Amino acid sequence: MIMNVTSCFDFLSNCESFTLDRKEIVSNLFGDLRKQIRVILEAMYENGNDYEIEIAHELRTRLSEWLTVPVPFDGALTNSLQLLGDRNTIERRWGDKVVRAFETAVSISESMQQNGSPMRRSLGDEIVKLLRENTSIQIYAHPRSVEHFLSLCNALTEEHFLYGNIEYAASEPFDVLLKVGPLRSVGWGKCPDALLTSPKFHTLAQFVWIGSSDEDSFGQDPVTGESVINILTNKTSLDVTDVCGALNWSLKTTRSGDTLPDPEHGVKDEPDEDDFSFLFRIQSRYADVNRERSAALIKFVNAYGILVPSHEAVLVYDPEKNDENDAIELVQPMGKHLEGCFFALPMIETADFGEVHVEKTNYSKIWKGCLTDVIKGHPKDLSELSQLLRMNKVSLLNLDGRLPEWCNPPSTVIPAPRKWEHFNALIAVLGKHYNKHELLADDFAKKAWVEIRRSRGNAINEGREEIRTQKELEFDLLKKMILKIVNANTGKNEFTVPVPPDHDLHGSYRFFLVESVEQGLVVPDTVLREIHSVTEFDIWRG
Amino acid sequence: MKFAEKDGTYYECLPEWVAYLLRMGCEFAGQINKRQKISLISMPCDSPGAGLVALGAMISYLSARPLSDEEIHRRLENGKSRTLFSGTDMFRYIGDDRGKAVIEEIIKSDKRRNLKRPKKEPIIRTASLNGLDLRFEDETIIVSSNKALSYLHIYEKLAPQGVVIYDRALQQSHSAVCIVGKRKGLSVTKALLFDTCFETDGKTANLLELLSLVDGSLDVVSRVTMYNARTGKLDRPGLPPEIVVADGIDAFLKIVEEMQRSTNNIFSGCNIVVVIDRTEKREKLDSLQTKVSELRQWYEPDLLEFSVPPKGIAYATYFKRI
Repeated sequence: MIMNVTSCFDFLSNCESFTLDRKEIVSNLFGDLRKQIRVILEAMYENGNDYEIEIAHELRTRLSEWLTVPVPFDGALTNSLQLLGDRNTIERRWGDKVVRAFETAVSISESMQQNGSPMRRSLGDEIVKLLRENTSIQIYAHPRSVEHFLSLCNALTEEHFLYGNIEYAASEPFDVLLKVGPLRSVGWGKCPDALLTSPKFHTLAQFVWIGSSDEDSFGQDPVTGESVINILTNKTSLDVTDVCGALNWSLKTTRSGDTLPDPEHGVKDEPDEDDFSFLFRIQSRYADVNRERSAALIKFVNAYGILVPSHEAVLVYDPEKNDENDAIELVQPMGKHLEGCFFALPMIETADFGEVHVEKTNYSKIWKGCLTDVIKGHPKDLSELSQLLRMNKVSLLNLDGRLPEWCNPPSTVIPAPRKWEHFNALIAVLGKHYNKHELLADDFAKKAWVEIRRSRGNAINEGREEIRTQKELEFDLLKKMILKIVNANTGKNEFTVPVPPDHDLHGSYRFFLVESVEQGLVVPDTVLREIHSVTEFDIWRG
Repeated sequence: MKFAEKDGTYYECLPEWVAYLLRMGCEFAGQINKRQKISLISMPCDSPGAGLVALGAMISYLSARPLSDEEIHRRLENGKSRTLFSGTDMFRYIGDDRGKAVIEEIIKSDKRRNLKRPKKEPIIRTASLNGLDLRFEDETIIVSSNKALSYLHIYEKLAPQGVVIYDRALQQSHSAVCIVGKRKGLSVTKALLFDTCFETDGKTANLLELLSLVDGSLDVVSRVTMYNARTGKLDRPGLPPEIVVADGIDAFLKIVEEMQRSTNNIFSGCNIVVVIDRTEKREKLDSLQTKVSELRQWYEPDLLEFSVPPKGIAYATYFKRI
């Protein structure tokens, strides 16, 4: 049950002050690894080709994860670095500075595996201590990071975790909130400002790598614009008349971890630039040069989402509008709040689709069947298939984990590799190396790819959406279809309405109930207007 | 005065935050003048705060002198060309007979009428205004003693000290206060209002009832209108609102958008109070900040402090520059 308002006020008035207990974790090894990775990333974003930029994105994702999740220092670090190739390849391609950074990074990541993560040690000790003292705790984390917390302490259960604004708003008061990583309102490790402006605990125990800075504007009071972090770091004066001042936050900073200098690598400095600031800087520069676009992520209630250019109008159906003539709208995701509306996605067939019909999922059944056979034949060791795919330039992290995901049957979309090159390589490897000859038939890969693209909703892509008149035509069409749309909306999160057969356009519209809209992502054109699971969009977060 | 929330817990007296928001609404309504005003209130959680501020403002208007019979007659005279309703019967206003209203029934033409039967003659009625339950088409009852709001005791107990409520005001519909429902849907706001109850002297009423919002039938006395931020429609027409209380950031943005759209729509001259939930997502909080920064070109902070809010509430007011 959601806490009532009076109890919420009672809790705030009974708590004289709140403490931000910032526990900075020192690791000379990890600090230096971060420096080396920054050297590598800077070079790759500066001069990388498409394939190399993809590796850079993966490395950036991995670095962001290290900073915000208590991941163990295991072989994953080395694997990520190995995506760059061998020493000679790197030296030829990137020069002396990068190859030295690469060698140092590999060496450090091997040492780190032996030493273990001081973050995990400190966090684990704290959790055990708090639970032993019967302190009520909650951990604010991303759902996908939970396994790393659970592995720290057997007594932890799902009930100890809070995942988002809604869960936090609904939670009862408790004693201590644990959070790993800097306090940020966007991107990796993001959490609600309400942690500081509407606390439901007296202590926020923040475990953060030294050198990682909190966002200045975090903990913003929407009325005064002042932020708790700014007040705590003395960047602004404290005013008790605003809520930040009235709540009386105090900051306590302690340091722990591997404080001894590492003689082998001669490392003793702390990182000299905040990693997220660095990543933002290089990515912004890359986006400027490569004309990446500002995009909005429209998240659907069914855990899928779609990226659309921030200034491009989208078609929505608002079921709340009583007047059916107004229920279809063409609005910009920037200017309009879409929660509760249905996003309308055209699935209009075009000439090049031929006989491909995604509803029947003919092609996906075939290739998924072949992939499942291969995986079943090698249940414990997918390394051969992964190796073959890597040789065909499928440079994805955790490839072994993704292969079984691609076997999953179609749901909202057909689970498959995101890129044509990767999908084509997968079909070729399955066909040639595992004797799945049916996949080598004429244009099988192309037809199956069209089917996948259709399921993702980019049937009429290739820039045609850019044309305003196209959208207006669709707007008129949807208005004509309004009665069918109203009838098809039976309270589900997703539904499909076919275009009437007497119309020039053939196909259907899919409607997805919108949960929220996230602004401020910068993405290449190639990832726009495709439906994917929302977790797939993590790599575009800062 | 007892108070209850959505979980059914009864509090023996009004919690501080409830008293503050009622007082704030009442004082806000008492201080409006020629300079347009915008107030922002942030709350630590989702709440019926907008309803409470609207109720405070409504109570302030209940303490203002209600319309006299002469003024109501003048209003009926000005709307003489419009059809009046009393229940399902239709009338036209004829005039004032020593304070009483003279109205003539409008007979609906019936094409299926048997021509042999004599034509029905319109009835002319003369009666006191508050016994006729008259209303213009699509509007609520202008004045009625039968359908007067029945929560005088509760309003009196909720009114800040010194505020005296006119009995007669409870008999008259009014549209100076408007509440804007959440963009998620009016039903969300209404559910919050429904779950917020007051009890005194054995009488209980929820916020939805106290605000006298219309719910289907227009044959009622209503003192507050409701605006749907999704559809852009008011629940009933009336004079432009003087105070608009927005439930949440989206509702506020919608009203400001309407206010700025033109200088002669119903919201162009209104004063706004917005009640914000601080657990909203950052994107929403940022959109509010952006709008407030933009408005500060034309509005300046009110340096006169309103009473200090309880811990957990933040408050700021801006006046339109002259």
